[in-house]
Amino acid sequence: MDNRKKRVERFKQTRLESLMTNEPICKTCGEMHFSVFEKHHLAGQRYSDVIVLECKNCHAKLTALQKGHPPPSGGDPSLEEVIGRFLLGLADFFELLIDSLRKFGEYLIEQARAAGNATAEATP
Amino acid sequence: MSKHGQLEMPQRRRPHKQAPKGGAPLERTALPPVDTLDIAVRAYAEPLKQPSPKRQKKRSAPPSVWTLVFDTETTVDASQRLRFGTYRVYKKSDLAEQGIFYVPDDPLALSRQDIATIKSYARRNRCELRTVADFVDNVFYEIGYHWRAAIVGFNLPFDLSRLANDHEAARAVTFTSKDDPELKVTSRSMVGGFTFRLSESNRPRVRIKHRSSRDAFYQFTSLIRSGRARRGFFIDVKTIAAALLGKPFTLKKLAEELKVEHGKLQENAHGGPVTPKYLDYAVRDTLATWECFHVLRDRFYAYQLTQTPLHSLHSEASLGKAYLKQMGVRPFLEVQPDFPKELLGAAMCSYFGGRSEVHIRRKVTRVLYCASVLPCHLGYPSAAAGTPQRPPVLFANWPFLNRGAPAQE
Repeated sequence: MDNRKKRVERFKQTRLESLMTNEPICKTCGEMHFSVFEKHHLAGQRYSDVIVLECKNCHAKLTALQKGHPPPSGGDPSLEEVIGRFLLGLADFFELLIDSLRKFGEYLIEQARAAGNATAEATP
Repeated sequence: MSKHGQLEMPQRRRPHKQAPKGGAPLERTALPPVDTLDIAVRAYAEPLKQPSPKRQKKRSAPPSVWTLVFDTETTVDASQRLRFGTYRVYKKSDLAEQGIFYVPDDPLALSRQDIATIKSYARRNRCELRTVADFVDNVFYEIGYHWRAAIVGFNLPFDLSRLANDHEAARAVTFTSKDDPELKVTSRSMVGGFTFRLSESNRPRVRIKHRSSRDAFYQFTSLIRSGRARRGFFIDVKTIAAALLGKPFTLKKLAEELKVEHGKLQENAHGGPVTPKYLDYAVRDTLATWECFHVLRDRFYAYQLTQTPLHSLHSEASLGKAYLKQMGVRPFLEVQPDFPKELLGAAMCSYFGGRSEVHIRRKVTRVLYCASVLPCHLGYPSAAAGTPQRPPVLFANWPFLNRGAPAQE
């Protein structure tokens, strides 16, 4: 293995170590390249430690959606507020996921039809 | 209890000799007199000084997909100096590199002829050839430390110590909390062990502390300038074999037990001239170690103990504790810290466990009493009763026990 590959591998392993996984995957779009990941606080950093790995694009989209949440109140958040923020974070997540699910669904149907047509053409 | 309300230790006394019923005289036998000994009972002792706060354990990342397996060959004199070694690097289960490393500048370890034999063998068998320093810097640290590989060996403390060029006693380490800079925590977990310096360049040292003949603690020391300590993933196949299979093994016996494809070859003349046959033997040792590790790792994964990594498996007890952790069973005092300590004391005093002691060893002796010796790991029935195909009874029924019995119709 040459030195360039060694340096890339060293960088990769440091990134994976901070992501706490060897096989990161963007929960929204399915991106898998180790270098594009960020940690997204589902309910907001102030309200919960629950983290989801997202690619940079999806993370930016989720952060933008988070800007639409009610502005934070002063003082320590109550349990009800934390739960509310968590649910809003989940709603944002599913909002993005719906687009991906639709694309994946359409893609699979296209693939199935293409395979079906190929089989029909091959059959005498 | 004395009249002053204090506990009194029972005094040693001779047993009363009573004549048996029926009035027959007590027959004198050759049996030695029996002493009644004091019985020590368990107690709950509250520490006078509260232990220093432990650092919050952060979840650490798992080892990467890389594995480094290595083995060393030494001289047979008292110094057991390193002669050469073999290694294999795997990515998941695919071999990425195999090689031989040797000591280039120690005529007491390798002669010129030996080095020439190693070089020609490496060329013929497509093995990467490195000096020890090259292996340590560019394989051991590069892959084992920077690539976060699992570092695997059979009897790893010995092999690691052969790579060292300096050592000292391991010291206690003081950490400063990130959240509270005033809070300083001292870790003495490696005191009593050794710190080895493997490389001349600025690399973290390796700390090893022996726990028993088949187990040790390992870790990389943290560099002063680095922000995060990376402790490494050291796995001794001897340790995990004993933990998973319940008895100690040599590499040869383990390879036979696990029926791996490439077992250990016939032993060679250690310490003699290096020959292709001796190099075959050394290369095969590393391969056998890898194959045994692979089988044991798969067996451990079959247990589905997702909260316990393989490198933290030290004994049968670790396996038992891993099951309890997986089931979410927390220590009693953690769950109920306010439970009355007096009741704990009373409960512990009521417990009398059997105890076996050996006072005369390695001598044929006539015995008066004979107790069958039970294997200590039966103390961990939750671990000992299970196999990957048939998990322990308690673990298998845990969802049922947790939910409670179904309502009767």
